[in-house]
Amino acid sequence: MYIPTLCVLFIMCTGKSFAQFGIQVSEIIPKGDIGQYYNKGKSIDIYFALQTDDGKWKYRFGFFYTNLTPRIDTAPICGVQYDGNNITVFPGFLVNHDVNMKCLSADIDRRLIFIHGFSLYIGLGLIMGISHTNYVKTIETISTETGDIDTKIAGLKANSMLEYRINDHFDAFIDGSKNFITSVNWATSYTNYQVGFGLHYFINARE
Amino acid sequence: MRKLIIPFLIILGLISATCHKSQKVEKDPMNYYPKVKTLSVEKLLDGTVRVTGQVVSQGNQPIEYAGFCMDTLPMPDMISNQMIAPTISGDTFSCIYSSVDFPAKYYFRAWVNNSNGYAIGEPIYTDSIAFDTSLIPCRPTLNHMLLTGGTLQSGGSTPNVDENYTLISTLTQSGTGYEFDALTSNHSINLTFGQFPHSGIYSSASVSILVDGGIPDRLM
Repeated sequence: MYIPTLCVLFIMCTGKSFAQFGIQVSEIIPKGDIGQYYNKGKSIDIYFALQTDDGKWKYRFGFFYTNLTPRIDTAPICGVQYDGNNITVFPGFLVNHDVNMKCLSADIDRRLIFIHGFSLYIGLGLIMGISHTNYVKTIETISTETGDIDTKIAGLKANSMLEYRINDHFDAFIDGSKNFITSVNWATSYTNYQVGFGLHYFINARE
Repeated sequence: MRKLIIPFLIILGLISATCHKSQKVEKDPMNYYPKVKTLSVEKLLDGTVRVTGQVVSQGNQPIEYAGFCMDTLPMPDMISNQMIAPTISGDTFSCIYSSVDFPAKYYFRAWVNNSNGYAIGEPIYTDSIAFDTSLIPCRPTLNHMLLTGGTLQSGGSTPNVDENYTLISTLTQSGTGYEFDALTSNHSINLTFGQFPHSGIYSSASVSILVDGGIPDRLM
């Protein structure tokens, strides 16, 4: 639903625009629910972008991928059993494997400053896709749970980007984002910071 | 109008995204979990055992439960004879085990948990048990007895709280055990034992003292 809506919004908003391809490599810094379990990792964004003639607005539509490795091999978890007035605390363990996220993203960026070939943008984005992980969760004498699950995720991005015009075809940029992501069933939510750099290639040379 | 809507949405999104506070990420992933130490095991006078543990760190969440496990195996599992401490006082907590049968060797481990997980301490075994000397009114001076621990029974005269016993008789075997007399200028106390007494300091903390003129006082 989000993506078609954004496409329509783009078409309405773009007018005469410069089309670009962009690629970005970033460091993902997990926070929130997943910060406890996963290390920092690399991500890649590949996208198509449109920029208005006056350069004030940039619309990006692309694909995002990252793979995060677990911070510890085995986490010491426990379960509490209430039986009348008796309470028993059972030990257990959680083994997480890598988590990877494959998402589509759509961003709108507004240029605030343009000076000596440098442009500073802030923007907002939407992200939605699939997060995949598998795990083993055991509570001694009570349960063992094995998961190999795809979770639908969606979120919001707050972007800032500093771009430099190299020539008529290329811009280089550094980008920082804070992403707020939640599973579609609201079971988990987390933020991550994304700090990276990349290139924009303009299909038609600018004047 | 269109020019206003999009910046408004962007600003709204930026505010909501940047204001969202996420849980602090610990540099060491084990800092999410508590840390605990098994401090001591004490054999009490009534034959029970008091185990004490210490919360070294609660992790990044409050402690939910703290307790002990106990077994005759060297590394008791967390649920072996598990006891949960009723309270945590400062950073220490204790439980009393009554189902111990000496001279068997018992191993105790303290554990704690928070909402992230648990930690369990290294075992302490009963060979390292020490008596709780805070309960024994001991004086290292020989022939010097304290009567503060006993209860003066009706009909007796008040003994001096602190008396020097100048003469202690030879230990003899009586009908039910062993006994000896200890004499002062004013009193005579007869001490009886169910079993052959080993040398050491004996406390009257949980017995009665009878003081009745020429009749020997009896420490039961």
